[in-house]
Amino acid sequence: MHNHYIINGKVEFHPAASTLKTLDGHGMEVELNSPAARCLLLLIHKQGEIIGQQDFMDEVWGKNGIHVTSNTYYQNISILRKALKKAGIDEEIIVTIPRMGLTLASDTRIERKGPESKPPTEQPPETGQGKENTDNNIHNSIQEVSSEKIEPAIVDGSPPLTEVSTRFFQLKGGIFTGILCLVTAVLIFWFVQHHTQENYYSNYQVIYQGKGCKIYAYHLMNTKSFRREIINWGMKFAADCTVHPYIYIDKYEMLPRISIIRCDKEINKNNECISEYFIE
Amino acid sequence: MKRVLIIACVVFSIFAAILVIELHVSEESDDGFSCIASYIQHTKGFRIEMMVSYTFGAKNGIINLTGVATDETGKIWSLDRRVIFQYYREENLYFLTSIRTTRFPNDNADTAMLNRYIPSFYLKDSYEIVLKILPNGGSNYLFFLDPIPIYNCKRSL
Repeated sequence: MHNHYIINGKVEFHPAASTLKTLDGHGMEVELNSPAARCLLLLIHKQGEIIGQQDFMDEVWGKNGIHVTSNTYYQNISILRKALKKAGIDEEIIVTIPRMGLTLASDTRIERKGPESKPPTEQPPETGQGKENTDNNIHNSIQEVSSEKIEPAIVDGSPPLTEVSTRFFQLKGGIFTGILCLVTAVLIFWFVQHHTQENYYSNYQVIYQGKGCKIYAYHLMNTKSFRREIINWGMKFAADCTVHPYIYIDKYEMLPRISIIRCDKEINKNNECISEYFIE
Repeated sequence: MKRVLIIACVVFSIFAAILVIELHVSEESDDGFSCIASYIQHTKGFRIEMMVSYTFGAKNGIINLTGVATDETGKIWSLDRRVIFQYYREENLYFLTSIRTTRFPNDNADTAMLNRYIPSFYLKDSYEIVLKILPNGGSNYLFFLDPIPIYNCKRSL
């Protein structure tokens, strides 16, 4: 069970569900949007204090990484006032202090209910540490609201602009991330393609290994006799296999030429090679 | 979301930076390269053993041929020649035209005799040759005159 508050004995405020529930027996429920609920929670937690616009913007939006204009703030306070009225609180409990901010009316009664209940009015006096604890509580509570429910509220039948704009930015961010990922993927693909240089000898395989030599030839050689012929060509250089053991042989049956490249390391490595070219 | 965006931006930036460097380097290498090959050609009883070095600039280049030629009787000739050429490139195909061929004083090989075994491009002015040159991993290039590689040319400075 989450914390909830009873305002003036008339309305139950559930921050986690962002709802106001009338206690007149009909049980009417008014949904708030998350920012409006967080504004009310901040007012409750700081009852007796005047909360400036910037504090609202920092606590309600800024700490969630959302930056909004003052219009969003005014709109949410307006939504909150209408919702409180709709829920059955006829008196103006949210009081505007000109050029300073908002506060809960001094005659507002807040009862805190729930497992960790300790009414906000019973908070210790504002010593440095006490204030810090209060701020942490506020932040935690507000975080709770924001993590539990971030859905558009329906007070006047249409989603408020704040939520629409937040979603718009989320959507925009998503598209931006998507485009970045796509571009990065294309770049990675291009990079890999560019760096995976085709090795002429990648389809060559060892057809003979012995006497310190490794003879490579194209893997699709037709006949055994042709294979034997290739090996014989390679073994002409067996005496030098201690220095150049990797022997790559190219020979076509119809072409009167033979290419033999002998290297100290594999052909695609940083090596020293001797190229022998036979014209028959 | 903000964190994801930051990470995505960082990854993107790193790749973009690598690509810019890569492109810069490849542009530089597109301007040319140098390589050297140890080459032995056997034509019946005639054998040519030489170091062949290529330097490709943006449009021109130099080839140095240094080595010995040995005929069927065992007679040895010294080879030391230079070819200055112009070229253009289409993908892996290099179209070379010899501009000026130079024989160094220690070269005592008869050009007409050599021409029976070596393409005219390497020996005389205003001859053409088409080479296919494939990068072959590491720092090697494979040179082709026909379907099979003539030599493995190692990249040099």
